[in-house]
Amino acid sequence: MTSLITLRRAIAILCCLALFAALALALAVSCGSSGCGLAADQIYLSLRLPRALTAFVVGGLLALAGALMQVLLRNPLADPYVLGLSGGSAAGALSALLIASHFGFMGDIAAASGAALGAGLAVLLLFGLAQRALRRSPGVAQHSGHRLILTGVMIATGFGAIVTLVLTLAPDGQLRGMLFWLMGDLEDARLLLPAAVLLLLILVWSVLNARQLNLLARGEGFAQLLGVPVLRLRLLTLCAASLATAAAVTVAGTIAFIGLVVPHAIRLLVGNDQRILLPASALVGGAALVLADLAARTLVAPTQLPVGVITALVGVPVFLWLLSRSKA
Amino acid sequence: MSETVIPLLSTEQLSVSVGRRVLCSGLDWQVATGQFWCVLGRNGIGKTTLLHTLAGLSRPAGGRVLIQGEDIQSTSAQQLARLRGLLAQQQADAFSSSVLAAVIAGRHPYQFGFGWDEEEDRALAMQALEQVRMSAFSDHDVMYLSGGERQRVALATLLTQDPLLFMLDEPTAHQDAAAQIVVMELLRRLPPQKAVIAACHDINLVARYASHVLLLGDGQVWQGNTESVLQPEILQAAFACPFEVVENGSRRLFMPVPGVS
Repeated sequence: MTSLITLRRAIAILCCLALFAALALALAVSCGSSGCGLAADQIYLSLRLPRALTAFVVGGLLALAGALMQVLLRNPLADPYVLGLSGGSAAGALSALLIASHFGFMGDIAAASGAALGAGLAVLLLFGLAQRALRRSPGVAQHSGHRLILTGVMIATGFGAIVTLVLTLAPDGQLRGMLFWLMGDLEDARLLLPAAVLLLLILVWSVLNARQLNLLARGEGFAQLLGVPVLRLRLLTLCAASLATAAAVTVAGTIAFIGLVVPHAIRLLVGNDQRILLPASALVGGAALVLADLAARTLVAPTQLPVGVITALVGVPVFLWLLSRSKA
Repeated sequence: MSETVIPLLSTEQLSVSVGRRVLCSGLDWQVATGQFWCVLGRNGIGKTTLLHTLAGLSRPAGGRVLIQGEDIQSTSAQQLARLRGLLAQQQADAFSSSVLAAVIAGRHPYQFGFGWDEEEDRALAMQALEQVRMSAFSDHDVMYLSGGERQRVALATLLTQDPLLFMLDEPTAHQDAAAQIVVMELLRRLPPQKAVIAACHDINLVARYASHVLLLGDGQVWQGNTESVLQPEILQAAFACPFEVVENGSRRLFMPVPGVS
């Protein structure tokens, strides 16, 4: 069992992880489909750096959202998509792609705005339907996560049907692009700046509230009894996690496993103290997606693999290995 | 005129209900510092709901709960955390955590900023674990404790929280015979500015340790000092079961016996 984390140890861990993230970014910028080493300055600045930074921000958003969802639902197996946000954005993006091709618009702008709209719709639906689950007074041993999860699963299922419907209706020429979008695509760096600002804001909020989130993870009633305004905290946590997920999905499509595996792995390694788990998740999530994207670009170059395939192929065995070696 | 002392906890015409079931209504009750109240009553009579309402976790169906003369609904969660604590009937852990970290969580009302645990917090938590005889388990995982051990760790958390009013939902339920005595002795020896309200099932433990008893019956509530409430006739009315009294020196033991049907 991991013992208590002192401030000194927390700083040491976070410094190591920041170094790891910096190395990952440096590696991703210096290597590409043409191999590692020298390339024209233009390639570094206009192609690789924005792409690596986009991967870092998206990975950070996903891992942070996953960590927050796991506390909110008090379930170590929750991920950012469990409440149906990915389904909403996928349905939005694919519908927009379909409509855009019908009228002959540019596809990628349509996909991003459709994803943002769809994620927003899913968040609104979730908040509307989950109000009762959140507002229920925190009785001691019971947790209201179940109702929230069921609501989310239903939202995801509904949007899943729409995704299937759009894929069925889409012309053959578009299917490939749509499937790539579904598996995650880091090509487009235009939304990098707003996404990075959002990541920073949510990270600051999470770290400032980490001590209260620690108590929330031990139980809603427990936290309320020890002086945490549970209702407000849960509402804001849901808000932060949904925003982070919606932003990540809008930028890069639905990339699986980062949001589930990274927080879980960090929890197994350094314990469940949110004061360190949340910033560590953002750093490691970012670094992990940077490395996964590097692999996707270089493994079978010049063909680019969808980055979601890499995260799943690497994420599953790593997760199983961590699970088997942990005492918990 | 002498100044009236404000009781630590009082209820005014308090009604408590679960769904549409009214569990108790019109309860006027006062708990003063130094008192050790036990709440007795049949299963499902509303002991837990009453404790949750007194702790401010659920809203009363009617009436008010006052803590140090202030309505509990208008007191902030932060203030309440220093005034009252509640040991829940069971703990539902979703994540692994060391026993020591679980106990240090009780220091939350006294920490500021990021609350990196100070030497003092750690020492207080170890002291609380010592009191519940769990100090050897400080680096164990809470998910792997037995039910009784987990409850004693939760009691240590409550001791670390150190509120004025200790509320406990069946603190002895999961404990073996020796640990029951440890828990009840601990509660009786709390400093005189504290008060205890414990929901209990063991009438003989209550007779030995409680200073006062609140006995919930169907549509009727008995309250008062322990000797006045623990009478065979009253117990029979509340539990719908006859009791035999065994005199053992200065103590009276209450034995439930099969009723004549």
